[in-house]
Amino acid sequence: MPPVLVVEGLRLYYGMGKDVVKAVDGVSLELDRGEVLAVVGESGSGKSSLGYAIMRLLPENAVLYDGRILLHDGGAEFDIVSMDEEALRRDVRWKRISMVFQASMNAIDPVSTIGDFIYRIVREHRPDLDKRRGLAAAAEAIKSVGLPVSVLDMYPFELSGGMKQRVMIALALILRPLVVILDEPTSALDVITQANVISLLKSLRGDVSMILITHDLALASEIADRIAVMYAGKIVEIGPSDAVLTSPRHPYTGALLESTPTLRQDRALSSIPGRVPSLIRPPPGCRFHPRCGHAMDICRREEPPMVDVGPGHRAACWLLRT
Amino acid sequence: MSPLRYILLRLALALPTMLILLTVVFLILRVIPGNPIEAMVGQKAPPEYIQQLMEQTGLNKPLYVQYLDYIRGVFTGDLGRSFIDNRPVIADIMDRFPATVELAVFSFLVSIAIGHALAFLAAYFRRNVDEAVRLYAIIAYILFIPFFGLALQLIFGVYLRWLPIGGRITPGLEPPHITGLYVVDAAISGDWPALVSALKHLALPSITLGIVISGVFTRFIRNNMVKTLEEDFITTYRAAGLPRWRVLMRAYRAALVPTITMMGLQLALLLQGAVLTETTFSWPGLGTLLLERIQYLDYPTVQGVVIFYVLIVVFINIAVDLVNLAVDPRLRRGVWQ
Ligand SMILES: Nc1ncnc2c1ncn2[C@@H]1O[C@H](COP(=O)(O)OP(=O)(O)OP(=O)(O)O)[C@@H](O)[C@H]1O
Ligand code: SF4
Ligand SMILES: [Mg+2]
Repeated sequence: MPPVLVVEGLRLYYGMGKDVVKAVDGVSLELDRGEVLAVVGESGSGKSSLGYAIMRLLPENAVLYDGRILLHDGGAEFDIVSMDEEALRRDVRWKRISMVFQASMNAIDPVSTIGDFIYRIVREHRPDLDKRRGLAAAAEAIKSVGLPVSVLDMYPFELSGGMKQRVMIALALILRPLVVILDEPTSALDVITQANVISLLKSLRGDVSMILITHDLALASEIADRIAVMYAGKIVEIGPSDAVLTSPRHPYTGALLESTPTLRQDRALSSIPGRVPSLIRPPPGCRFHPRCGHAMDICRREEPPMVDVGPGHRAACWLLRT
Repeated sequence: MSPLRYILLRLALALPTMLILLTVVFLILRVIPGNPIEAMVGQKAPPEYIQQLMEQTGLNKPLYVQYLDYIRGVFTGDLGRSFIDNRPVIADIMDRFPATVELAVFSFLVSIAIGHALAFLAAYFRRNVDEAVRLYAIIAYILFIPFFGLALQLIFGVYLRWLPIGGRITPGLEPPHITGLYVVDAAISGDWPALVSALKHLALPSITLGIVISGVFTRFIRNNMVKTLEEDFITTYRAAGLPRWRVLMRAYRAALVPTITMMGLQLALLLQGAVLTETTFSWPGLGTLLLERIQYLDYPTVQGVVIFYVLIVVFINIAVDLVNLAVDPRLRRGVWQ
């Protein structure tokens, strides 16, 4: 069976005045059916941008968007980057790929009840459902994330952050999409709610393919089958979770792991020496070289290619070529 | 709080404002040079007659007594009698009020129709359309009603001869008096010639005033929508595959409370514009009444019309609050429970 999602050479640049922010700069990855892929990296490495790029949700200042994103559903193939806007809207968005947004506290329509809000979206893709059956489906979804059905009659301002996050997860799953992109689904929550959401995500494993964007390596290790490490708009290492976590091959992955000593904390990864590089003028060669303890001459001049370092495990570092 | 208590509270809160305004108008009128009695009967009238009129109108009493008498009258519902025609002021006002309501309502409809259409076009297409709409809004906003009205009168009235340029209706066609609103009365009584005539007479004044007010509407609705379109829940709708126009509708809906509030504020401005429009189109409403009577220093009528305008604005504000309560779930759950 082909992977459900294949991303090749994906780029998304933003314009900022005269500058160009290369937020996603040549990302390639694959996602199998039912698999959970975690995308980890420091703040500003382009993780959310990658998620938006996969959904083709471009901000107004997007100046470059290219590469290929192929979505396979049975025999059907959708090329998200180049497909017609109307077909994208009708056949892909939410129906086949949905997303739980980062800091999604305001992701719900403020002047709708939760029920109306969910039904409004369901109806778009399931015109066969009348309001009664649409709300019944919404009730099912709401229960499946552990919320009482009474939430359907409430407005978002009457819900806590954790409840809203669950509503968004329910909404993301309600059309049974092939792929769900979860962008920091736990980071805005208190510890107990986090634990609840994490066990909810665990229970969903296998049903849908998930791209789990997080800076929480512990969460990634708990849920993900594979981990992709992103640095300055590029994926520098990708492989099975165990392999990446126990024998990281890219110096940046190693630094990331060291900065998370207890592996059970939810904090920003700030303890790697040096700063996240500018995405406007990224360092030449290997983008990590200004912060890398192993940097060599070639690292400053040429970009390291991705090489195989184990079964399904690849990394981009000159150390691995010599 | 129940809606009724809420309305009463709002009225009570409006009292000080009304009192202050009344006092100011009272004083200003008396500072304006001229003597109302002379304005009425001319300088050559016999002194005994003038004396008699002074007593009849109470103008011979000290100013503070006049003031207290007047305030007492207002709060017992008596606005006094006009110096000019000696009718109760309230009767003159009630004769003219329906004409102003008719003009205001139709102008308002014109301006919200134009405002919404252009704002949606601007927010949907952005770029050049947005710029063009912005230009329209600025021009509409700075139009001077008497000049703009005159231009429309010349084009559609004098040159093309499509529409009448003044008055409320062709004399003789007046429908039976039910509400005083010609359009409504003509429709209720099935008087088609009257209805057509009333609508034709309404066309130019309400388009004039409607276009001028539509400038602010357009800009405000457009800005609200564009700002709301940047919010997170809009991203959810886009991601969820809602068509662009439906996303726009949701942005409009989310911004409805400020929009309605603004429209209420504009209604006050509209009343102000209505005065100019009425004079431009010889429209027999409150505005023309006010201007006519200021010339004659008809103190009771001018004061009465001003109070009436304030009351209208207060009621509009209450109506806006009530509509917002219906529209904003946050307010609804907070206030009524
Ligand atoms: N619309 C935009 N216009 C310009 N720059 C943007 C835009 N959106 C994001 N950026 C910039 O692109 C870079 C990548 O941002 P992105 O949100 O994808 O990072 P991230 O890895 O998700 O970070 P975080 O962990 O903080 O969520 C950042 O430098 C950010 O400031
Ligand atoms: S390529 Fe060079 S600079 Fe980059 S991570 Fe490897 S050793 Fe460090
Ligand atoms: Mg992010």
